[in-house]
Parts: sequence; structure tokens; C-alpha cells
Amino acid sequence: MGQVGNLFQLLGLFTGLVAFGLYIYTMQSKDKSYSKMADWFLIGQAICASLASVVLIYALATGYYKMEYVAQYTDRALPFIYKISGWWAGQAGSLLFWGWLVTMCGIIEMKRIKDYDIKQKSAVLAVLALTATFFLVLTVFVTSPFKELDFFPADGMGMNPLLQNPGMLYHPPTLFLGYVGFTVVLGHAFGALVSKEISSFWAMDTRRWTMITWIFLTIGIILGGEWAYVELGWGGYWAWDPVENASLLPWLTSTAFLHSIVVYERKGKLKIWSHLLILLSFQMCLFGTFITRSGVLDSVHTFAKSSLVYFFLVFMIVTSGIFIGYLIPMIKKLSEHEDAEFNFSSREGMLFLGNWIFVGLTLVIIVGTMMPIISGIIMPDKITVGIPYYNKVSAPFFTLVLLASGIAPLLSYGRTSNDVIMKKLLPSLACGVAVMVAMFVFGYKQPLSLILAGVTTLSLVTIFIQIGSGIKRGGVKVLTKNKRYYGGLIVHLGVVMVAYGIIASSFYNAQTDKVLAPGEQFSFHGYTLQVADVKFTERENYVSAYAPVRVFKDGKKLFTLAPERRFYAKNKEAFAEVAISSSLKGDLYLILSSYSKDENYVGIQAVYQPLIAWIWLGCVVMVLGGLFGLGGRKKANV
Amino acid sequence: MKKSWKLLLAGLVFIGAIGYLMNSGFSEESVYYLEVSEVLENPAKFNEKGMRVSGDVVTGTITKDFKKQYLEFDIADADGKAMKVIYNGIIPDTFKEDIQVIVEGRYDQEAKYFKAASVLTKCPSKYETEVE
Repeated sequence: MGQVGNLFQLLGLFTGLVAFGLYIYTMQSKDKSYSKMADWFLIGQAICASLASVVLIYALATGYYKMEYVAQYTDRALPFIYKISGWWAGQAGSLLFWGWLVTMCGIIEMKRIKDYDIKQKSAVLAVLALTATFFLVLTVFVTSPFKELDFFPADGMGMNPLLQNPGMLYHPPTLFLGYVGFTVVLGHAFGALVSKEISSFWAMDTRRWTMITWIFLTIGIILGGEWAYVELGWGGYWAWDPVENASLLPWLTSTAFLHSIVVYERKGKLKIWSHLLILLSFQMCLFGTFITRSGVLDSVHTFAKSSLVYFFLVFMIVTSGIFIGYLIPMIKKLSEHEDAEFNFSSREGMLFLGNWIFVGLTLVIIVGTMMPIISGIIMPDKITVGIPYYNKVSAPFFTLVLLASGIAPLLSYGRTSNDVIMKKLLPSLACGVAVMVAMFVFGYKQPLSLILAGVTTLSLVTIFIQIGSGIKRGGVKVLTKNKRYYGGLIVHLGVVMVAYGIIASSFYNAQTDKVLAPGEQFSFHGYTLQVADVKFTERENYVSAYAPVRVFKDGKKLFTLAPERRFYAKNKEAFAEVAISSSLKGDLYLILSSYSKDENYVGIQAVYQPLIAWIWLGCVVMVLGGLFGLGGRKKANV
Repeated sequence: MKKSWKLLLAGLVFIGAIGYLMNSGFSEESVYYLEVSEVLENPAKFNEKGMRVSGDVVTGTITKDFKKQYLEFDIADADGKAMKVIYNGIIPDTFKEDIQVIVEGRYDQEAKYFKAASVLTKCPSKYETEVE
């Protein structure tokens, strides 16, 4: 079966390469017949990649353990649905998955832009063909999911229990969808450069791709955090792990891109900046995978070291080189009308400033993540940074970006005088200060948390003022008339909710460790927790040991939580499964850290995370806002 | 002309601020990233900042006490240089013999062991397994 799969991916590689060559040729010659031929090859590549994927899924589903990949990530006892998720559970499979997604984007885009200028169309599809081919090169030559062992193992090694969680079914695919979409947008940016086009058409035309990709990226990141929170059992959701950073980087640059294209469209400014941001977003997606898959950095997520690093590096450098090679001759033309006044007391000025903040934050995260490598080169001893570094350096950026998001919507394009700004800003500012004072009075006194909560509130009030004054001017229908703007404000509302959740849970969480005899109780954060003896129960592929903990508040029983430890058939060690009671006010989070029947004790770790549910709710609002904004207004300047 | 000066100035201030921020971040919040042999050569120097050390857990050296949250083991680097590590805290689920771990903390030169504030295990399986 391995050979069949391998044949398909090899065919996919060649058809993709031919398609790429033909598109490049069409780009130069504008010969329609070649373009048509190229289309067929691109379709061929998509079919081959799909067939290769089908073979892999079939092998995973039927347990064809002769294929090393299948044996590595699944076993007989694994529930069927997780067998299928093996497609993206491992390195080789996920690269095939990514390549396949790119070919699917290619087909969709080919249909969508079939009547576009031939040069533009060929440039876009050339970028897609090349990217998909790159991934197939990796799966064919570097790490093939179809490699067969020279014997047939009776059973596979099974999947890491940490991955046997519904999160595995939706987190990786959403994140990958959040990575591939920018390929299409980059294609259009490239097409515009090739056609020497300076209008914002390419950016507006692909706004849906950008938005949808951004939405997936947002969901992917926050679901990843949620998954870590419920599954990894340390009470947190974000550890500035290199892999987490890798998913945040393209989010930051694409968020900047989304804001810069507004200025591009409205004021014809930030054109070069927008081109660079989409290039950066595309490269950051690759950089993320490069980090994840290469083992250059030590991270709990990292795969073993492999030659993948070099392939990624070469691809990133070559594609950036080509793009910038086309951008440089266009610089003069692109910046021609940009000399007009630009000041920071206008909306576009504020958006530009916001862009700097996003890019600055991207930079400090990249440098932090790469520090072991950078310091290994430029210093006598390797150094590395942890959570305190990121918290420290990112805080000013988050403060500024929230502040900018609280001010920008109040300004108009062009120039706003300082008096008007102050007058408009006053209510938001007053509320921000009021919240800071209130927090201080109620004993929440950490200075940074006060500042962050202040600017978050400022941003929140601004959103309500803008929506309120919009409705006052034009009635409720104004919201659906300018979906893009109000969609954006709804996204901001989601961001504000997430921000409150992060601030509260980072600064005011509580934690304790207790080892008790069954029947004993302890108090924690206003609760009284009574621990019962450990019980056992047997499930499909694991045995669970759990300790029922009865939770009381003010003498009244609220509920019983049962943190567990699971023993999977294939693994010697136990895996903790936490028990969480979630509410809008905060989560009570219990971990069964140890127990012994013989010595008669139960070890419980209790964590209280205030407002954490708002992070997940805020994510939902961000996504809804994004979807609302998708409607957009049909562009008049098409 | 005036506008571009303003922009340039703002840019410089911004870059300066980032530079300052990163510099203070690195000088205060970074740790050395070392192999076991490097730690043993010059522990005094590295104790200033603290360090993160990666290595393999040596088989047969583990002492675990879940109740007291006490963990003791040896880690060795590729050349076989080993040191004792002591850790007090919740023992990670994935901790066992023969895996790679990353420990963070300081080296006690008198008692000759590494006092770890955290023990991080490299995840198994997803992250690469050998098929025998």
C-alpha cells in the first residue's frame, strides 16, 4: 500500500512542478493555451495529493502497520476517530495534510479567478503550485508517511494519551487552515507586483481569504490554549512555548496586515508595508512549522532533529527573495502618492502606529524564541529565556495596542484636532480610570494589572460609543450597511473580553498543593474541599483512578469534582485528567497529583483561575465579528 | 520634509524602546542553556543567572516520593558526564527512566547536586518514537 501512496505523491510533485513551470511561462507570454494546460496540471496535482491522502487515511483506518507512520501513531486499541486524526498527528502526515490543503486552495482560487487578467491569474496559481509542490518534495524525499517497514508488526505503538482528546480532532486542522490561506493572498500580492499594479484591488479582492484564514488562526490559537488548559494539567493555557509562539507570530503579522490594507484602500498609503506584511505572514506560517518540525529549539512539542530545517530555510529564503526582487523595482511607483501628510492624530496614523506595535511584538517574540540559536552564535555561552521574559517584554506592546484600539475608532481619516480628540476620548478615558480606581479599592493592586485593565476598559467603552453613535445617526440598519467596520468593532469587543480574562487569570490566580488522608478537608479561595478515597473504573483503553472531591462554600455543598489519573494500556505511567468547575466568575481546577492506597493519602493540587471563561467566550465573539465583517460592502472601485 | 522627520524620529524612539526592552528582558530574565559537562566545569559562573540543562535521565538512579513531592535522579549528556538532580514539586506524569528532560535551577557546589526549580520532560510518541 505504501508504494501506491508514494506513487500518488510523486505524481503530485511532478504535475505540480509542471503546472508551476507552465504558469511562469504564461506569466511572461500571456499565451492562453498554456494557461489552460497549466490549469489541468494543477487539477492533476490536487487529485494526486487527494489520492495519496486517501491511501494514508485508509492505511490508518485499517491498521496497516507495515507502514512505519501508521505503526508509530496508532494501534488496535485506538478509537477509530483518533486513528483518522493520525493524518495530522505526526510529522510526515501533517506535511502531506498541509500540502493537500494548499492544492485545495488552488482549485478553489482557480475557479474564482478564472476570468481575471491572465498575468495576475498565472502569478497567483504559480505561487500556489510551488507551495504545494514544496510540501510534496518534503513528503517524498525527506519524511514520507508511506515508508514501509520490512516486516509487518502485529500492532502499532499507539497515540500519546495526551493527544487522545477531542482537541486533537479540531485543533491541528484549524491551525493548518489558518496557515495555508495566506498562500492565496501572497499569490495575489505577487500578481500585483508582476503586473505593476498599485491599486489596492489585490488586497480587497482577497479580503475574504485573509479574514477566513485569520479566523481559523484565531480559533486554532485559542483552542490550543484551551486544550492545554484542560489536558496538560498545570492550570495554565499559555506558556510561551516555541510552538505556541509559532502560531501567534503569523496571527500578529496578519492582524497588522488586516489593518494596513484598510489604510491602503482608504488612503492609498502603506502600500509597500502591506506587501511586506503579507509576505511576513506567509513566512511566519512556514517559520512556525520550521520551528515545530525541525527540533532546532528545545520545546516540549519538538520533533526529532531532521534535515527538514534546510528545506524550509531554502524555501523561505528563495520565496522571500523572489517576492522582494519584484517589490524593489516597484518601490518608487508604490510610494509615489504617499508623501502627502501623515500624522498620528488621524485614524490612519493610529492604524500605522498599531502596525508598528504588532511588528515590534512579533520581533521581540522571534528574538526570544530564537535566543538559544542567536546566543549560540554571538555569545560565548548559550542563553535562553522563559515565561518571565515574554511577560515582561510583551506587556508594553499589549498595553499600547489596547490603547490604540481604544483611540483609533474615535478618530477620522485625515486630521483630527487635539481638542476634538480629547472631547471624544473623555468618556472612555474616564471609565478606564474609574475601573483602575475600583480595582485598587477592592484590593487588586498590582500596578501592571491596573494599567492593562484601564486601557482594556478604555477600548471597551470606545467600542460601545462607536456602535451607539452609529445607531443614533442611522438606526440599527447602519450596522448591516457597513459590516466591515462594525464587524471589526465586534472583533475588538472579543479581544477586550479575552484581555480581561488574561489579565485576571494571570495576575490574580491562586494555587495550592495538599496531601491529605481520605475524608479530610481543606479550605482554598473561599471554598472548602473534602477529599474522598480513590476509586477505580475501567474504560475502553484505559483504567481510571479518581478521587471525588466535594466542594462546599459557606457550609453549603456546591458540587463534586473528580480529578483522575488514567492508566493507558500502552503506557506505563499515569496521565492526569483534571476536573474543572467553570463559571463566568472563575474556574475551580483540581488535579489529582498523587495517591496511595497503602499509605492512605490523596494529593490534590487546586487552582483558581478568575475570569478565564471570558477568554473562550471572547474568542467566540471575535470569530462572530470576523464572520459578520466578511459580508463587507461590495467594492465600488473594482 | 517636516513630516518625514517626525516619522523618522518616532521610528527611532520606537526602535530605541524595543531595544531597551529586549536588553533589559535578556539581562534580567534569561538563563544559561547548557550541557551537563559545561555546568560541572564552571558552576559558579552559571549560578549567577541560573541555568537550564538538558540531558537523559540515567536508568536506575530515580528516587520518587509522590507524597513528599520529592524527586531525585541523575542526568547525563551525550558524552556520559552526569550529575545528580533534586527536585521538590509535582512530579510530571511523563517522567521516567531513559527520557530526555530539561531541568532549570542552580547547582549546589558544596552538596554537589543540581537543585531544580522545574523539570520538563520532552513529550514522547507524537513527538517521535522509534519502531523496533
